[in-house]
Amino acid sequence: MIAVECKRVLREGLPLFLILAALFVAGQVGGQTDLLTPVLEVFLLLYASFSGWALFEHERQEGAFEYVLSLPLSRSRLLLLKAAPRMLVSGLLLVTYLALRERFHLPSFVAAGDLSLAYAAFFLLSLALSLSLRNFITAFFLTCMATLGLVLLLHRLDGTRPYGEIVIRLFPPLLLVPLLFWLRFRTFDIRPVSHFNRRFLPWLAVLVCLIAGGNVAWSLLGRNSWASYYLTRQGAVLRYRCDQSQLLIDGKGKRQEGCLIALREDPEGKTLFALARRENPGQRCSDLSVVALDLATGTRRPLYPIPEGWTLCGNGYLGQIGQPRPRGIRLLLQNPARKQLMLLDAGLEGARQEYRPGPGHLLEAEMVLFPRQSGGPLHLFESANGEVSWSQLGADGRIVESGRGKSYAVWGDRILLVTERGATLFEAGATPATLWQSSGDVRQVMRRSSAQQTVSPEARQVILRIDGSYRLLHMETAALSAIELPTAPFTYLEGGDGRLILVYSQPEPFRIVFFREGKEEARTWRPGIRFLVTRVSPFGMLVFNQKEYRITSFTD
Amino acid sequence: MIEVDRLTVAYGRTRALDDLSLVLPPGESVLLAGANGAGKTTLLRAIAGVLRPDAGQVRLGGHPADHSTRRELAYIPASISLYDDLTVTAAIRLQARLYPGLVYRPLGGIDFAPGKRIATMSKGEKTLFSLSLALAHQPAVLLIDDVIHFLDPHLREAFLDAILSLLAERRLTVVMASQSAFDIEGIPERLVLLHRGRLILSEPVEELRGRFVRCYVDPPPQGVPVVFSRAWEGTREVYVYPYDPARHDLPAPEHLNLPQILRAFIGGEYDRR
Repeated sequence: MIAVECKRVLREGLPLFLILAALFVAGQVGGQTDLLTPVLEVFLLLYASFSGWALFEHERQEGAFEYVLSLPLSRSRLLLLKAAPRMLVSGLLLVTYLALRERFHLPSFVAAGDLSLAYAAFFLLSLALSLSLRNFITAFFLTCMATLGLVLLLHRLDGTRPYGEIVIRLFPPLLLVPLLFWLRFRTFDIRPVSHFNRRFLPWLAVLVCLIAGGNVAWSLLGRNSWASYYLTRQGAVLRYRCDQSQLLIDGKGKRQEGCLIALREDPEGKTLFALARRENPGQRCSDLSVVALDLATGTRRPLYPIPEGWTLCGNGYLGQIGQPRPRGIRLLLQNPARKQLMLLDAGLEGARQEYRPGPGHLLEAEMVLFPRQSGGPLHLFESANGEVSWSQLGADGRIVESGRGKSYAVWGDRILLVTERGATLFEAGATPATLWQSSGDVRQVMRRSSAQQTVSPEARQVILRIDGSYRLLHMETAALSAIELPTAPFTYLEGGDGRLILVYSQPEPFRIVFFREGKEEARTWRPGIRFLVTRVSPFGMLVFNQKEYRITSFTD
Repeated sequence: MIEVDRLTVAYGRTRALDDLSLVLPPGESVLLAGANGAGKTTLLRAIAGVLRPDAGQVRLGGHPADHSTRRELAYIPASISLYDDLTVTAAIRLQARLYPGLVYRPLGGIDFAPGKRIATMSKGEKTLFSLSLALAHQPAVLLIDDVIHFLDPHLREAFLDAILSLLAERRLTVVMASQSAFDIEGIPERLVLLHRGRLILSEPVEELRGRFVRCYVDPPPQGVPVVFSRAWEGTREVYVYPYDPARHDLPAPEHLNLPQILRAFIGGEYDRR
């Protein structure tokens, strides 16, 4: 029976296997690996769901239920004989995919463990619905609701918890659903499926409600972990959650009231400028003040209390790019209600504010570049729908779009814009000057902090893939040089000593490669914890989950 | 021996079998009869183990029926349930894995090409193949739902010949569900009659024929157990069971064959409705 079932599963899955293979080849040939991985992973989940749901589809279509139920097999054995080949083939497909992902270094949007859990949950939940629902679309929809739907709900309830942690919490209890199915299947017989459903579906609803309720309670009551971390170039760590923050210097923590989001370090690495925020449930956070944290002592000094109605443009330390004078920081604030913008220069000696007319609505800029010429326009960058928009904000408050592209990088007064037709390096100014240009197929190797997130676009050196070859663009000198890379790294940065540091996330877990003057050194790092997000700074690399973190120094 | 002890099976609120008890001796061929909805198929399914009773128990050879006792059973449902996507060879191979020592022998002299897919067989061919497959593991009990009407006269003859030769060869218990007994009159040794999930009658056919008579009398005499009566060409046709010549004085009582007896019983059940 296993052999017969294996053949059927392979026959059923063959079209999907071929689609996967075609997508994989197309992605590799076309170099569209960023898009390839999510598409493949969606297909995998769809296949897992279909394979589980189709457990008894042959019996249903061919009217063979009476035949199989009259065989000298217990119901449990029958279920095992039917399900084992499907599990085997589905498992094999997942393992093959994960092996290919690692072999070809495809960007991993979901960690292998999380993907495997989701895959198993989709397979087993759909399997549990295989008798009850004759329509695959309904079964797939309910499976999505019980898995991804709950994940999104729980993330909505507590946005500080990353998806990975929710998946780990939610999916193992969901595996009780197939257990319930097995218990009920032991008394399954040839009567209409409504007879089975009357005994199964109410219990299934109770079980799913208990699991969902338990997780919702956990989300609402158990919010005591850290939301995010920032690693300074000297190795200090600022971590925060909604109600408090902690600055860790040499491993010793100093508690800070409220939620502190790191903005920028001063060039000497003595002070960390941060934004104090207050959480407003269901609404945008309120920005309270700009503070300076002494990275030697951990003392906190308020620099500027942000007036009511004003909010920061840009997203914390990702967004504040520019030329801070020593012992100070420049920020762009906005007040949509008053249709005003404020250019704030906050330093340890005091704050200076300059008001300008605003656009009258919320500026959704994710990054603001403050060029060297203080009188010149500010540069706003916004990403949406996979497209980057670069605009200039004049002294009169008018916003003029300067360009659009696929990605961008910034360093000092330099702006790199990568478009469908090539890439151009500009020098910022009222009329941006072109410093370097390349046409053809140019792709920027993005620097990531997790499978889903990229880090700040601020970089002195940018890796590009031009017509299939990797190149290193020095943003200051506009010099382009060749660099031999086996594949795109997970992230990269320039270290404090001028070394180019590349971090590969696969093979497991991290391979860190140091380049200097044509020489290459490499080492691996196993953090020893299940992490969700990474941070890098010239000091080293930090990985964290909600409970713990690990750091490795690049100078070790 | 098949023992059915206070068996109850319901489809929703409708009881298909209602507290039904029955004992079928080993090696006997039984005709399970009754009007539509009497519970024939449900009883066969319960004995075959494809249906779990809501109450009561089925025992086979003294053991409670479960998957291990199903080795002794062969069941041919009315839907001729098989995997249609399999070839003849694959279906035999699958059966051989589940029933060790299986010896497939085509019945009725109709052998199917090994590569022929079950899906391409006619209903009659499928029925005959299903019977050949079901008997290949030498079961002690053969349960056949009402499948005769799928077969053309030639295949029907082959099918019945196969059953008759099996009965002659070995001590096989055969339980056949049917609403009529025209084609199978020589086979059943016992008639089991159901009505709305309850047992009406379980009696050897020979005894039944001796105690079942028809006569033409209007009105039927008082004190005679009339199963069924109807107007017939100016007089009244009266079917009497159990007939006792010493006690019942009937004009020209006539003994009947099994199909006629069955028709009278079922007609009587409709009258009582």
